[in-house]
Amino acid sequence: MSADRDTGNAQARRDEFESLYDRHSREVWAIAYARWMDKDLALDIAQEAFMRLWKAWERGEHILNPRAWLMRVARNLADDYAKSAFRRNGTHPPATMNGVRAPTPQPAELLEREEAFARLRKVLEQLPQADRDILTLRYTLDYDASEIAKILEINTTAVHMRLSRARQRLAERLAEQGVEPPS
Amino acid sequence: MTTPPSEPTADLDRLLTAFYQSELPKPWPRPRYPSLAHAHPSPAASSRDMPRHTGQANALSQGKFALALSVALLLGSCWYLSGLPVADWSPPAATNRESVNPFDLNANQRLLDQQLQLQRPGSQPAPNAPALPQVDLLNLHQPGDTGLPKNAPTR
Repeated sequence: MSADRDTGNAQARRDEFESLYDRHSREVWAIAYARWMDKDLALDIAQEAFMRLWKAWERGEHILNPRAWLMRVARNLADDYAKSAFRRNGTHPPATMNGVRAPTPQPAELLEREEAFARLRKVLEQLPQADRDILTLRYTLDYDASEIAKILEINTTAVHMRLSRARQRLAERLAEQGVEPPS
Repeated sequence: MTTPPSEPTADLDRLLTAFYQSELPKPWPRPRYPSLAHAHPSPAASSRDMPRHTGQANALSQGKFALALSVALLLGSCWYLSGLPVADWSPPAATNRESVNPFDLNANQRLLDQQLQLQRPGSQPAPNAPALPQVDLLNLHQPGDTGLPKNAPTR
């Protein structure tokens, strides 16, 4: 009976964990991505954040707001990236991969798109962190202002203002570099 | 008031959406768990749900194989060496050294001096070297022998 109850609890915990993962892992990824602009590193950070949540549950810790907890852990992990073991464990900072190209030739339109993305990435990297946070959540997850406000723990008006300014700054810098949106 | 961007809003939206969507990993991976034992995977959750660390697994299995091979080689070597015939060993032939009373310090010193002299290159034993006394170790103690010098005053 006790074993059955333990198994049932474990399964319930696993179900809850996977539900949280399905709902919030992309948000966690977006927060990490906005920090370093590296999708693989962001994925590592997101996975690590969820793994820490699982371990915290195993230790018997009760986490009232797992979403906020995950965001905080992801931010800390992203901030600690430069001095952490991530660098030694096979993930590469963005600069390492900038020059890597696909071995097979690509069609002209794909190359044009890749070039536009590379310029956009460069401009995004120069934007303030707060701008990148908002832009990443807005355009990766298609979140509206109220969702972004919850994640960033700011009010909706501030989200609107920041988003508007971020887009304006971005558009100006892109125009300076002559980047055209892909057709 | 802020001035509107020169680029149309829709184009910027499209560019940003395309960029960020291209960066989002596809397909989205399943969560990792610290260990399979704690994860209690359901029967439906096969190994495809778990992170695949094939490189680490290969390295681990290779390490185990190398360890097993090393132990097998060690045991085989021991077994092979134990089967070899052992060469007969006998103590070195007894030399015709003079037997010396171990308690006679003077005789021992002389013997040591002789040996040192023989070990020097080109040295020959002195022809007039006094012969060392033959001492019978089994009959060191004679009846009536007190161990004192013969001319020692007796009480």
